[in-house]
Amino acid sequence: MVKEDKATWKSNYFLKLTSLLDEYSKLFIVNVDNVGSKQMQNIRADLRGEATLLLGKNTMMRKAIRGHMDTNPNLEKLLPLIKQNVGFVFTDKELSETRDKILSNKVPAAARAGAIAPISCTVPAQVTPLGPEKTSFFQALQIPTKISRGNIEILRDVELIKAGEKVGASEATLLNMLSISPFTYGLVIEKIYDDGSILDPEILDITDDQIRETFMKGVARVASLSLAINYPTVASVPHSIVNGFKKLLAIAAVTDIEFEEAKTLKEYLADPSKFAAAVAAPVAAAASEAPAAAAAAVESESEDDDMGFGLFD
Amino acid sequence: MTSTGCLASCDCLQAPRLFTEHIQCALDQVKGETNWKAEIGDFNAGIFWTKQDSILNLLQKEVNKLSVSYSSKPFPKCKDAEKLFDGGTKCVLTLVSSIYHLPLQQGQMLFERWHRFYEVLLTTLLRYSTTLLNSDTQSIAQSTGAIWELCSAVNNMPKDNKSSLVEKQKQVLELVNDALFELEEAKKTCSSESSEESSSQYDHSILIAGIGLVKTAKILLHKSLKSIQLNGHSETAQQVTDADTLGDVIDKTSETVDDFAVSLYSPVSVVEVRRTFKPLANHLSSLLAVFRESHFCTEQDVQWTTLLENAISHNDNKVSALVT
Repeated sequence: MVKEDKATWKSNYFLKLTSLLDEYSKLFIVNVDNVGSKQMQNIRADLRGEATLLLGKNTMMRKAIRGHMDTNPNLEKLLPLIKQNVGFVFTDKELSETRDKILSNKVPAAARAGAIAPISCTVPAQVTPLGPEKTSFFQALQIPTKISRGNIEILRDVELIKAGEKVGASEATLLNMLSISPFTYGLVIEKIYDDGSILDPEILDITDDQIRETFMKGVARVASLSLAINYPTVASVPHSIVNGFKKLLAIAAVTDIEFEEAKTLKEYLADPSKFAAAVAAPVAAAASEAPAAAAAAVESESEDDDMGFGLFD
Repeated sequence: MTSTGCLASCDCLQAPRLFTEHIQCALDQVKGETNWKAEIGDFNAGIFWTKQDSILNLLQKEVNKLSVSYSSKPFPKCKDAEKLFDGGTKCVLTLVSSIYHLPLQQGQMLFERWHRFYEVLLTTLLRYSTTLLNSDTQSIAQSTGAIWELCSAVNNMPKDNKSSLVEKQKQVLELVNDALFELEEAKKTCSSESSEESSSQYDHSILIAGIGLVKTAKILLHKSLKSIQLNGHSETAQQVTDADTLGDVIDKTSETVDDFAVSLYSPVSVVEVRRTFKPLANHLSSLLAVFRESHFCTEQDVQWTTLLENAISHNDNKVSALVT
């Protein structure tokens, strides 16, 4: 009986995957490492109405896609991405919104021996609830401790696990004893398939500022080239004008020629103490502002400290 | 904020429309062209790839200009818009004309790899041009990012036929490795079930025999990849053809392995195993034969190729004995 069910499930799986591929033109390829079945159930519930999560054996997914490539040849681009522990999240909604929803479901997880740490984990200095009989754990991990009122006290913060490294058995046991769940696990988006294009998830976060920055780098290159070959362009003209102005100032500095913009420079050259005073003034202002700010902070702190006592005088 | 309103109101739609039309035209041309040059007498690979690099750099810059101009107000005036889109159009035309300068003599695999890339690039560019006219700033930024990503991916793309083969084989090896991993996982599940039912014990023995065949496929791909990397060249016509011939066979490996693997999952479909194991064994034998005849195979490879030939035959017989 079970055998028949499994066989039906196998053939239904192909139908389900191909109908989803027909229905949606966008999907996320997500890694499901360390995501438990309960969490997966919650993720499915969260995504209901917005996206559909489909997992399965990679070989079956690839076979189903190959069988469907006659209808949609673009699906071929998905094939090399179906490896390791991945699944599909199909959606017809805005990619950024669905992405946020996918990433929002994370659960804290205890460190497991042998797992790769997604982040570093530091055990803070603290008095633990552990008795002196557990000292050997700390010694094995070279964590400085002392006994404080019958409990082990960790004397300083210790980075126990580094991101990307395997969690050792001692580290995992100690964290569990201290009830520290250092990691959070959830779906990790590896790639996005959008109507035939494969994209990195980072693309969803590109801003206007980044585009402008890249554009300005190009403008700077054009300006440099134009200046180097003496070929004026819109990008180089402001630089040429500034460079010309600098030359005029230099000439004015060593000759008797005078013009409005060179006046201050000439004054400074004639009497350098003026320049020193001009530079010193803002520094002094900044210095005098600092204690004032500190005083204001103290004042505001003392006002905060007052916390109502004065109100009931 | 959308850019549609401004473009429509200032009557500047002609330039962007032309831009989109040119991209569409270029895409149709690349997709529909059948008369590609087989040979170019004075083809210089170094110059060709440097030119490609420059064109794609330029394209990226033109796209940046358009994105900066249309992602926030005030939008360019009609004359400026014309100039901006004209720059983009010229770049697309240069790109298309450059595609014609890659001759088939450099290798079918390399040629197809780059043509797939050009198609994707032009499709992305087409989508970008429509986004520019109809969408919000966030969509424009995302479309721009998609073009950046494609242009920067060029650095890792193969520039000769041997590299194309290596790229393809690495990809196939990863997928075959993945299939093997899944079968090993299935074996663990099957082991726990097999003690309960005699039919599961039968499934288990087929699965183990099947894993042997897939493992042989993995080792064959792995060993031949090493030899290709070590001994492969793309200088003579024969060397280029060797890579193409081997690439054609390797291309089908993952599919053949997956077809077989799917039949092995519990409950094992004996009919399906019977249908898929022989093609896999035959495929591996022909892969080995093609490899042996190519310049990639040297005297140092004789030992492992003989060993794998025996392994294919052994695993083939093992599965065959169970299902026929």
